[in-house]
Amino acid sequence: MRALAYFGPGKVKVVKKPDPRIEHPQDVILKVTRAAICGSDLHLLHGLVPDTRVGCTFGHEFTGVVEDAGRDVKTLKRGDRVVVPFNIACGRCFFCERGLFGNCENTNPASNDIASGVYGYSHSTGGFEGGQAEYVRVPFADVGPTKIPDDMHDEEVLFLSDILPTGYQAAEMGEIKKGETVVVFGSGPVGLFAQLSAWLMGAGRVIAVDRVPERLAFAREYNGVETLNFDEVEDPVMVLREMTGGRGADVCIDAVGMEAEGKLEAGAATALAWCIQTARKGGNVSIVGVYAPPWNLVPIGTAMNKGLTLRMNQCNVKRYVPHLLKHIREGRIDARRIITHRFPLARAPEAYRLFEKRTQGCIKCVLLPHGEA
Amino acid sequence: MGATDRDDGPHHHLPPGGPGRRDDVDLTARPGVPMEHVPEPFPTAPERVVVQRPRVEVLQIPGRKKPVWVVSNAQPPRGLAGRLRRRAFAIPEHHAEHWMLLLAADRLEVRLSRAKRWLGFAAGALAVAVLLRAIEKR
Repeated sequence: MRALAYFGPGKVKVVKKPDPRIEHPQDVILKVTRAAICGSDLHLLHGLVPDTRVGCTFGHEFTGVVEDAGRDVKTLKRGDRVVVPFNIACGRCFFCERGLFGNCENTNPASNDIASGVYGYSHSTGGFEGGQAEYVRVPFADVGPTKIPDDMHDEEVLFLSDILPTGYQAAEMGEIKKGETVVVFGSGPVGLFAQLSAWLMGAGRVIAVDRVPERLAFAREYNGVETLNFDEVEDPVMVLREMTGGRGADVCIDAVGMEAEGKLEAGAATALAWCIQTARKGGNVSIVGVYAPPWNLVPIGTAMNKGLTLRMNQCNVKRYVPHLLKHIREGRIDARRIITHRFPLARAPEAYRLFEKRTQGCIKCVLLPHGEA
Repeated sequence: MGATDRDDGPHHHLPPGGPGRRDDVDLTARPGVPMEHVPEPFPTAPERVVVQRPRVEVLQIPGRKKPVWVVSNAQPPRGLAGRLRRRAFAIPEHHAEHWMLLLAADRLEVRLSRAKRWLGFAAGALAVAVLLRAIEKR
């Protein structure tokens, strides 16, 4: 099969690889129909995630058709269309039993402290091959994948794999109450869905912060939020304080992570620092941005003195899928609209370059490994 | 969405209240509240789990009491970078050395794979040159 492969910082190519095979009786093999490029894939592309090995295939947001199923798979059969959460979860460990699928302890031999196994996200999350390929192996097929309703297009549900539940969980962890002011740092796909979710949860004001004018314009148009371009102001924290009556925001969401640009430097927790500095005393800070390596300089003293509640986690995707699928079906969320570019798999390196540079109004790139589904 | 954007400097204002879709106002109705629910297996989770036997070397963090149930057989540790990785996995992950060694192994692997490619190219070029020379001599 053909698959994207990593060859060092900034270098990915489409190469031939052996087809994946059933390795465990609860595996399925999927023929990938859609695979999105995630902002966190750029951390891998830039070599910032430890144990990213040469030759590995990225991709943790994908849909596909079941091509082959292991002997113990009960809920899926050949031909079923599914969307797959980025976390690989067993469904019955201490954490899965409590709904913390992103913390499953049976799928990642490389770490107790990081996440569960994740598709295409380095050997730090288990080294599982990703979905930016023609085929992919999906372990614990009775737990992760969700069947796509017959009347729905793959692209309508593709983002249930990661960014939509992640954005929703970000807002949920902020414990937004009716009328509260929410500041979302980062207006990429996760930030957009966090903004949208903040409205759903009753926010009174939602302010998006980013530096890419096209992304902020999209946020205004897609979500009807206020926006702040931090490149256009000297001190974004001061501006946000002024915008919130000098007190600060009730809830701040970090949808950026370690690899912000401009004033935010790679590996720095600048967005998180801004969250802590912008939140009002007693407010909530919610973190879904990815930080790896897992240590950083964070103004924790400020957080303590302000009595902030800090909440964070990898998204427990499976928990949110039924609820968000309902929102999509009933027209409250049009997730497909954030797709701005589609590429065949052969042009995946070009898609990465475009997504990385955020030019041509790029919000989200999707790969079509087998052409139109 | 009913938004009336007004560009007045670095930020844009909307009327208070936003677009007005408030289906998830009730905190208790949100799917992740409370964060940890009463323990119960996922309804379709397998009742009996076979532990996958890896076909290649899979590095495991020290302190783990039991093997994980599924593993990946992709890109096993190899060569010099593999030796560094094995060394990293002898150190618990709450020590920075674990991560620094892994990052060092990543960089080394990239350089070695590039060097290997160039060596292959150089060997190919040399072979062509020798062949051409042999033809010329004839």
